[in-house]
Amino acid sequence: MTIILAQHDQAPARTKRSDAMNDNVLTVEGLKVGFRTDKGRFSILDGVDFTLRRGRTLCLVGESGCGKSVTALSIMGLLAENAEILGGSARLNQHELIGLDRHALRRLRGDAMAMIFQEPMTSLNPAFTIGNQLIEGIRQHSDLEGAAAREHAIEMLKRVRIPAAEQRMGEYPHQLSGGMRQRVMIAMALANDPGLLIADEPTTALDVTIQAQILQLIRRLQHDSGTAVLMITHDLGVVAEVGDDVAVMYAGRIVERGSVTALFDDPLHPYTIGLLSSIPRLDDTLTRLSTIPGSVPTPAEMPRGCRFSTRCPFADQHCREEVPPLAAVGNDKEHVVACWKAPIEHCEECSESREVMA
Amino acid sequence: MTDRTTLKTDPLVRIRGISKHYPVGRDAFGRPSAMLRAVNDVSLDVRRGETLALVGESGCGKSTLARLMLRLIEPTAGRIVFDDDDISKLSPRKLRPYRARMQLIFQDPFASLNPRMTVGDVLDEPLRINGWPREKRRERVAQLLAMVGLRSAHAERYPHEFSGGQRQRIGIARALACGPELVVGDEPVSALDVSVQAQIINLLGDLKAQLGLTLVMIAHDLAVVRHMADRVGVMYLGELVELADTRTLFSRPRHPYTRALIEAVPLPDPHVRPERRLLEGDAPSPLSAAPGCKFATRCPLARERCHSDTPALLETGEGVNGEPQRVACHYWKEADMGAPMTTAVAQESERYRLRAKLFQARLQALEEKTATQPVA
Repeated sequence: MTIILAQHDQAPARTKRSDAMNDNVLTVEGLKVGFRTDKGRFSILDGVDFTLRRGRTLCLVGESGCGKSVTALSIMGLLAENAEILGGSARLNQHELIGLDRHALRRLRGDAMAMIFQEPMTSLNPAFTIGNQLIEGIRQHSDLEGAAAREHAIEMLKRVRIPAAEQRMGEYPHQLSGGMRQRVMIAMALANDPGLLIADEPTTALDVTIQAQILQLIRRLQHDSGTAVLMITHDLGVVAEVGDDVAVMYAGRIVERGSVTALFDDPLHPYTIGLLSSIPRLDDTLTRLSTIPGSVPTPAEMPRGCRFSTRCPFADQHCREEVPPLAAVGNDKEHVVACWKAPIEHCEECSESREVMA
Repeated sequence: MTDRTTLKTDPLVRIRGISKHYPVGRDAFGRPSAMLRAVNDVSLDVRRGETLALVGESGCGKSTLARLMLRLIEPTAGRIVFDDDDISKLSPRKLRPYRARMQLIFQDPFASLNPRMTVGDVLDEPLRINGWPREKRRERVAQLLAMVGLRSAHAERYPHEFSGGQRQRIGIARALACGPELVVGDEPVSALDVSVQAQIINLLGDLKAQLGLTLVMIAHDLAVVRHMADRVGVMYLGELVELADTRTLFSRPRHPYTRALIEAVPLPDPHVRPERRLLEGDAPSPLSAAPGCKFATRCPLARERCHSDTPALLETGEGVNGEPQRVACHYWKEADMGAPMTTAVAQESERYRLRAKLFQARLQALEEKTATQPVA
């Protein structure tokens, strides 16, 4: 009797905890990456934190060199030879990825986690047929062999809506258009039903009508399979279209993170605000675009404090000296920002500007 | 952007029936086995002082058309008239004086500057070739650098010392060196990050107004086009399918392809996630010489006639500004369904608007304080 009671007591608690555990597909904490070059060591990522839940899409957004691709490559264990992980952790379903050996990573890649890249042509082997490459991935990570593996490959090509899938199996990458190649990449990535899909600028090289097709395809497949997607992009339009959550990166740090609606409706970091107002929009015809002056500092001239302080109109000595923590400033605890001045309408520097505007 | 009411309508460039066909492959007798029709029978005017954008997807022939316009490549057929002179048949030597009057800005600021030349040399070269006396050239180089927001000390440096945005400024300065009337930008901002892109777009707008330039912009980013252009020509597989003033084109596209193109643009507003009707498939091979409308294979409105009869670019009435809207579609009346959903005004939140204003106001205040230091 007591045993049954105990089980009753524990059961709900256990399911709850395991739910939370299963829900977090990817947890990245304090990830630090550096590069060794002949000019010395440079910090590329300086403490990146985020979690990605099952079935959700997190967009990493930022300008070139901000570290969004390096974040992805660190997770996949695909960093270049001269890069080293200096600290932090990245856990896939509670399993630590940082420090895993080559063989363990190989077992995970293409199985529990998969990645698609900007240029499908450079990720496909030009010397093998589409079918060959798809089947190889399936055989590596499953018990399927021969006809069964081939059938699964054809099935995958159909799922990514490639017409005449059986015929395409025998074709080579150069015989396909850019959009079709990206579909093949997606089919390969999803062949073993990964829990995590990392998409690094998957539509940047594609035309806008093809981009729309691919984004819709990723969304539909994700809806069916519950795969968590880490989408890396520089295009805020893509973020608004496919993202559930966003992390804005600047010079190797996340400066703001929150739900997509929070970020677009209530942008807190001056960089996010500047970025949002510098995109030309289809729906406006303003004569001048807002800009962010200057450019990202080189690793050698990176300020000690907030890395945006060299371009931020609100920055003071404190900002330049001390790194602001990523913290919530409003009621939405999921919406965090790394800025001493946020929200800017309350900061001291703004009082003048408010007067000017009034 | 030009004040649209004072726009002169006298064309600076007149393009008539221009085509560029490339032979592809050889048969047993050495004759080309197929023709790639990069640009096919395009007629178009570029008006003095306007910004004309040519848009379309990769392989549509927009870059080829721009290069034909500058006669950087030889047309297979057709005429190009620049400022009342037919330049389509001129010899290279006779063409040279026209070269200084028409210039090109390239897409990739990393590939288009010679890494072994200092910025000063890069800007000096076109001046020297065009016979500027030595003593005037130095002064001109400094003036050009100031025009694009760089310091005169930058003349001593090499391209690799500059960021992408700065390199594009150098590319612009080089194009402007000899005081051209026509500047063609081949995707001049698409390789740049958004915050830098905005700086370059503003710079191009300022320079155009200051120098009275005529701009032709090749672009695939429709939001950029909407922002910069006075008129837009839409190309598909080597042909011009629609030509109208910018406002008309975005508020009332009449070619089904134009509409599809506009509706495919992802909007930076998470509240508007339109379940759009997407275009199916890819553009067919430009090698196919099938008769009829090139867009018919993907067009939701296509019928039998579209596969046999090539539609001409015809006036379909006046646009918003009283300009003719030209469309190459047999059934444009059915494609004409008002505003595409992506041009609906996105809902900007009050908070965002306030902060964006504060950000810019504060930047301006600081700029005034630090006087007129050029932006690095």
